[in-house]
Amino acid sequence: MRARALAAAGLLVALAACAPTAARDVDVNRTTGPLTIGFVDSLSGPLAGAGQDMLQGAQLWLAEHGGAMSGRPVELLVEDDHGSTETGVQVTKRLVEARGADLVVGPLAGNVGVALGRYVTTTEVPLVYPIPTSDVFVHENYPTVFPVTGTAPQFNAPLGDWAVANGHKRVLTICSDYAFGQQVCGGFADRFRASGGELTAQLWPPLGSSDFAPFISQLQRTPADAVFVGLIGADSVKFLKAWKDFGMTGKLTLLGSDPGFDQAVLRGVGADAVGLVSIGHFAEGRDNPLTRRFSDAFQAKYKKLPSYYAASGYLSLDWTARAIEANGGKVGAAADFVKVMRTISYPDSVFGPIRVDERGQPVYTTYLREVGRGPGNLPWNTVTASFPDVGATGGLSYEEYLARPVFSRDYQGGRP
Amino acid sequence: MSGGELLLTTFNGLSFAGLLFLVASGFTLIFSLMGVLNLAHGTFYLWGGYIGLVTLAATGSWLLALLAGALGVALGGGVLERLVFRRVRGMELNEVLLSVGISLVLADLALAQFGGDSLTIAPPAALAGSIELGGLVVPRFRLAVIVAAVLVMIGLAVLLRRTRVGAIIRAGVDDEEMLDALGLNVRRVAAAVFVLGALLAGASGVVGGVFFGVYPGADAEMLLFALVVVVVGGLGSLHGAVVGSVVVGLVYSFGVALAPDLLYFVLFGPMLLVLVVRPRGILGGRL
Amino acid sequence: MSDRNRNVIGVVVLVVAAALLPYIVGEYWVGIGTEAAIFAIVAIGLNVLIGLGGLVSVGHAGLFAASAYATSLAQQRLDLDFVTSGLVAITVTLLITAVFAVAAVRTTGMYFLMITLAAGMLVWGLAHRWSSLTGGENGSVSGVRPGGLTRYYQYYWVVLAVLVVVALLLWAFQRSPAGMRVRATRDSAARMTSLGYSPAGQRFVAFLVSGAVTGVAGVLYAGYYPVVSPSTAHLSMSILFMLMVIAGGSAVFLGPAVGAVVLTVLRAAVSAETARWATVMGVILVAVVLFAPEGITGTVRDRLRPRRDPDPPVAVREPVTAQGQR
Repeated sequence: MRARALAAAGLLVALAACAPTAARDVDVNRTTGPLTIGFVDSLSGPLAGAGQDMLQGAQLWLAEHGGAMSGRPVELLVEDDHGSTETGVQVTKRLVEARGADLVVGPLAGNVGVALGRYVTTTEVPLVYPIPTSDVFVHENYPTVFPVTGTAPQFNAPLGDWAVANGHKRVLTICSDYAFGQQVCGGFADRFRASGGELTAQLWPPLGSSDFAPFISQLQRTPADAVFVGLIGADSVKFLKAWKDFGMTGKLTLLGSDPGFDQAVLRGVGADAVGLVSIGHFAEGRDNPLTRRFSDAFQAKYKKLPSYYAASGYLSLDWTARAIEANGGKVGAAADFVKVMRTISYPDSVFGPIRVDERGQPVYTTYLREVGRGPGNLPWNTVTASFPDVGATGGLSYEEYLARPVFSRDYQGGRP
Repeated sequence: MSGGELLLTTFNGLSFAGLLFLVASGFTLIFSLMGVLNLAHGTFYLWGGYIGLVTLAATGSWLLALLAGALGVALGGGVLERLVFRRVRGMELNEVLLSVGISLVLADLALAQFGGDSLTIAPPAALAGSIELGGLVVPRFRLAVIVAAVLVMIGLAVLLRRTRVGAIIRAGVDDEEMLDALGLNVRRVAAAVFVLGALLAGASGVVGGVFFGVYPGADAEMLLFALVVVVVGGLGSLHGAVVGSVVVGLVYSFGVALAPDLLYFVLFGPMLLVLVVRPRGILGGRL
Repeated sequence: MSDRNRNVIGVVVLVVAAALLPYIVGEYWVGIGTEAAIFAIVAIGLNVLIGLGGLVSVGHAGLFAASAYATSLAQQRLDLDFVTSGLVAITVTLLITAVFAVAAVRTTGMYFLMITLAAGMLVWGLAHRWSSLTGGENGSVSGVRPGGLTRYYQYYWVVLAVLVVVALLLWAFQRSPAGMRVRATRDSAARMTSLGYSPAGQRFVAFLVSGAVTGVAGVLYAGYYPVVSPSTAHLSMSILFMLMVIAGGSAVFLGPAVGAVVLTVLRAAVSAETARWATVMGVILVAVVLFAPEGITGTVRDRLRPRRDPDPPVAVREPVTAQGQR
């Protein structure tokens, strides 16, 4: 018995000395053959509606381009992270290690995004991040991640200046209490105060709050004359409903954030949304041929108007396709691929003009929007003013910007 | 907090308490007779909401939606009781585990069928809009919820205290063997109670769907609330469910207004405290 | 060959087979294997409460996550290495376990279940809201592995080794006087009291042992994933752990480990094909409760030989009174 045990132990030690087979056998330098694109999305949980849009935008692009990039048929592997960081890492591991993904597009949820950003630096797979990322991605270096539509605070900053310039000098913010919502708020609060505005209070309903009635009662007694709404998805819908139910319509001006009055929210609100003012990098009612064509095609296919999530899904695939084309049909090494992504710019797109700055952050035109009646009398965002060249730093230089902390609940802009 | 805000927060708390009572009464009823926590109660609530939503879209009648939600879930609950729960009657832990398994399946099926979007049920036209109550502007529907909860409470109290059926139910709690000896079919009574509990859950799903919405996760949220309510108020006691609902409703409303960060602790802390110090709850014991 | 020797050889073969996994499958499935081994540790630890103690806890994810967070924070904030941060984490977990235990051990059955449920969710709430400490839902950076053993297959062997060691220690505990006392308390608290032992005290011991083992698993988990997030502490995770124990079989020592491996592999396989994993879990739970309360190993064992050991699994036990006392 003992001899056998010793022999077994010896065998184990010997085996331990030899390494098993290599991990990934994906050839990233292929220029022909199918392209496997992993798509990490939140198709359940509080962000499911937005997640569905993002996927559909991507699928629309594929349908319009014969399901191929540079002549290579695209296999889109969709994985649901349920909005959970853990599941997000698990499914991405599966895509990268077991399903042979050449690159990964996604995710939707900000918490998953930060985790994936860290995870993909240990792999050889580029991450194409469709929707606005956490500010962390500007402060820390992720050479294998490309943020297609900038950062969370980025597009809310111009509203800060506009609010002061248009007589709203005292504002209260109500934003979803999680990283993304806090950064959306921070982007606005920072420029608002820098322009001389006074932030009377900041309310932070938890993400997925069921009931906004308690917050309405606080809003009823505020000295502010406008409310910045940095709520996400279903929360924004519920808030607007409570706003109306408690007779607050018209009492204070509502200023919508980029996600706050996005189409994904307007759909749930309906006709009551008409007239709402917000800031955004996408306006589905923008009077522009590219945007109009996209909105029409999306509506024809999915029976609803596109949100910025849909546009992000669409643009992410388009940008990826152009990068692969520029790269001779291959993905190549992850960091090199991202470098190629950075060289691409759009004189016009479904969003508007886009270029990439020296730090690899995209720069967009941002719009002041108002909700009007679109096709089928459905509410949609139209453009009333444009703010060109909005970058990641809210007007500051990169040195100044990086010297400050990441936006969070405790840091909402200004001198730290 | 100003006077107006205080009043509004109290009103919100009471209307939430109304909804909580509708959910918790079914929950505590099932517990009182079967001695088991039906952890699928939340999914009964959820399905009530979804059935109500579909019915409203198809017929345009809120009343029909309410009936469909209540009866649909009651029927489903009855079927589940007959096919599954009955087989583990008397084995408490098994019953709980079974209800967990069923809740997992029901919740996932709802997700598969209805998707992840958060949907709301429009209130009936007669109860839409706001009403002014002594200086406060409040939604009519929320006021109606308070009224409905009171009516249900009275109805249940009458059922339990004044009717023969109610006596049987209460007797079932106290002495099962005696009931058996008297030849009353305990199984039938237990099944009837389960169905009644499910009916209440389904109806409250439609009601909750109006001001909370119907979405994946609403089942877990409501279940946790119901759990806190019955633990704090007293397991197995109808009056306990009332007290618990009011306490939790007000605590939640004031908690969200004053310290939304600490909401979880404000809810679960007292529950833990009650469980440790006085497991019977404030009014635990008799139904 | 005696029964006992046969068992030992069987276990050795299992361990060797498990160790050979990296030569058979690629990185992804070895990763799943690592996860399965970590959950197996949680499961056999949880079984100290469920099987040995007769107490069903649905709050263990709170302890598991607390350990993982503590490991991650000890590494990030205090710059400790894998082993030292692990020891710190296990200590922290023991403290939190003691708090859970103090709240729960005077009850059994339903009330025990509810207390552990509430306690677990409180940890989840803390993980979520105390963002300055835990990073909120962005999570806390982790993924630090013991020096020189960072490759995926090396870490897998580390986890496997820890599983073997923990299993041996728990096996010894079960047969020790302390373990016997826990089992006796499960069978009859009244008798224990008349013998001069405090039932709550025995349960406390069981809880601490269970918590320590869960703490070990949490440390390994932090090393496996690049980030620890609040979902690790959620009720759904606690339910999964409980299902592993019950589906595997709480009356056989390795039953929970089998349950952990089966469910982890099943979850990975099912999730690759469909989004309906929760339904699968629910169906498994219902099926086990209705048709095989002994779990996989218990049912197999019964088929192989008639049961001599009067040790019914937790599911089939005399009902407790509403107050949870016995």
